[in-house]
Amino acid sequence: MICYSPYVQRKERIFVIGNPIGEVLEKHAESIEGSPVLTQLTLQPGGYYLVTLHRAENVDEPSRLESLFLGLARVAETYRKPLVVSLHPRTADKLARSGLNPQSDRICLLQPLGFFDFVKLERHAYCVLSDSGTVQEECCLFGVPNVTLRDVTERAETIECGSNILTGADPERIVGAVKIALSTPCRWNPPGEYLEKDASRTVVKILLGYDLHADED
Amino acid sequence: MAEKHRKLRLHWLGWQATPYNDFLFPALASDPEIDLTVYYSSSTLISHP
Repeated sequence: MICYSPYVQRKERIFVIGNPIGEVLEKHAESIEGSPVLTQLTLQPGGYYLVTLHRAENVDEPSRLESLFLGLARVAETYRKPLVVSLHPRTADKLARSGLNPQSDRICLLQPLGFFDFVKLERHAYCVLSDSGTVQEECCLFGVPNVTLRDVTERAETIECGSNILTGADPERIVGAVKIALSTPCRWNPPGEYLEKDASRTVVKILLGYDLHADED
Repeated sequence: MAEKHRKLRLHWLGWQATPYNDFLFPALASDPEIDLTVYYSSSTLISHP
């Protein structure tokens, strides 16, 4: 088994190789920065919130989805900045079925964005609110304040290094978490495993090295 | 007579294509010692995230 994080319980045949996220962002950096998405959406760097919501735990229950969008509306109105939502098809479907509408004109629902466009928006956001896993990692590396709209996270290292605040679906807690995220400096140190620059070659080496001994098992 | 060379056959199962494997899979596939086959359960490329 090849794992990204040292949080895994180490046992025989488990190799912790670091997180490939750093390698992906670095090698795609030119394409990401080359995205015209800010211009297309008439957004200024640091002048908007970016939001994603897609997990079943958040969007399948109408009351929780409503609570989350109420929290987002309060954030948008409190800080008077546009709140851009990259709307996952699952979430779009649940919103349509439940008849929910964003309760702020500052909330802009977008069709799902591609990788380069999304990461460009993420890189230049004022603050990111999301229930995604990789978004937590990317914000940690980019030095962008991040609020995770979940009750739990598998990325405990982002909480511990100070890049991420976990909130639930309660509107007041969401507003409070954003306030904390924005009022503290983005001077955290990303976990060492996020800074791995050549995880792919490490995986190749481990597999080839393991294969040398395969006949002994 | 030359010893028959055995390549490592690697079958990688994934949910769907993702940019996060943009460098891992080429690294694996370009190694002459590895015979890589990737399987996806969904043929659609999802948006991010």
